[in-house]
Amino acid sequence: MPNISAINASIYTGLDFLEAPVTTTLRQQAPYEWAALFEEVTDTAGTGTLNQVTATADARAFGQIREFPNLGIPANVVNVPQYGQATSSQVSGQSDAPSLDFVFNYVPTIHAFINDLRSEGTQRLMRVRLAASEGIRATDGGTNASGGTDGAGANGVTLPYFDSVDGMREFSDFYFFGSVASFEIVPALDDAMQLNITLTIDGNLFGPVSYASAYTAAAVPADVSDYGTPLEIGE
Amino acid sequence: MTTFDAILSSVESQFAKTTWTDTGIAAFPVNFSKGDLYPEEFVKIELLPSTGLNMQYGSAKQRSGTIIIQIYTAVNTGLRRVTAIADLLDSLFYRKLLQNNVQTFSSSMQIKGGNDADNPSLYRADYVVPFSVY
Repeated sequence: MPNISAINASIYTGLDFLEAPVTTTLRQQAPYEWAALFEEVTDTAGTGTLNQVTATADARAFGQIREFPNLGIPANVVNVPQYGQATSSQVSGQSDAPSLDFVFNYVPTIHAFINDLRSEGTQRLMRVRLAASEGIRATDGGTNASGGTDGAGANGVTLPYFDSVDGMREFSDFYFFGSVASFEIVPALDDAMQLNITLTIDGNLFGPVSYASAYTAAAVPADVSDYGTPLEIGE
Repeated sequence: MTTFDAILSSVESQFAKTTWTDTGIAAFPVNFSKGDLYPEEFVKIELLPSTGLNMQYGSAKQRSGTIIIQIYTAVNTGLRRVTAIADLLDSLFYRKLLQNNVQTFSSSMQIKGGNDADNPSLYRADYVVPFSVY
């Protein structure tokens, strides 16, 4: 099952985004269509141990992530006094939209683009890919480990790893539309330099979604339409 | 993707610099014996990459550990020569960024309690400096 099906540490989790700004059309698309904007999956089963995956020209990775925030919609519990009762009761109020605070091991040459995104203030389609096992790491316009030729600038984007024997390694994707709200560098004396950023989220968080379970040598789908129906967190 | 081997190479390459070679002090790795042919003073290079760091998602190999340079000098010559060699090692290892992005921090010196157990004609002290590689 490509969606994560066991308890594990999400060591290989990544944060990616689309370089192209958000459009109305993009907002109306389904998650499997968003997945196709990040990566192309080619049916090459039987031609080798690895099936070919390719990062698109618009796919970008944030890279060097140190800490992820809680993903989801936080509770907003309101205490309601009850006349004549010893204790009040609680109701669930309107939730505040979350601010997603990420921490990176700061490398100026890698992370300069994040401040550009903050300056632009325009929204992007973001993707958090939870993964406990190693995927294919996209290259900067070169050939990745699966043999696919990635788009220029896609360096570090997390791509699916699936071979003709074991099928696809598990991962779960979460999508949201967001923009970079803050960019703060933290120098350090005995640790790596850090970069703290806050992403604002517009709308809901879509996920978890992943490719369908039948990614094996016997039944590799021709496209990503078997991407699954996501939960829409926040509705 | 810094390997254990690359970390050791980064440390050893410091001893190829003229700052060190001009001194004429021999440097040997640990687990290497010259029998009775050791010079009157020399150092041995020891590396303890002791901790794997979990401070980044993905496949980055990040580690921290300790570089130990064993300083051997002749007995009955006092401590001055030991501290002089330690200061010389500071110029190579104190808060430096070595090859392969190996970063060293503040050093310390440990006197190992007198004459070397294997060779009573030698006095031993350890120059110790922690490192991290991200």
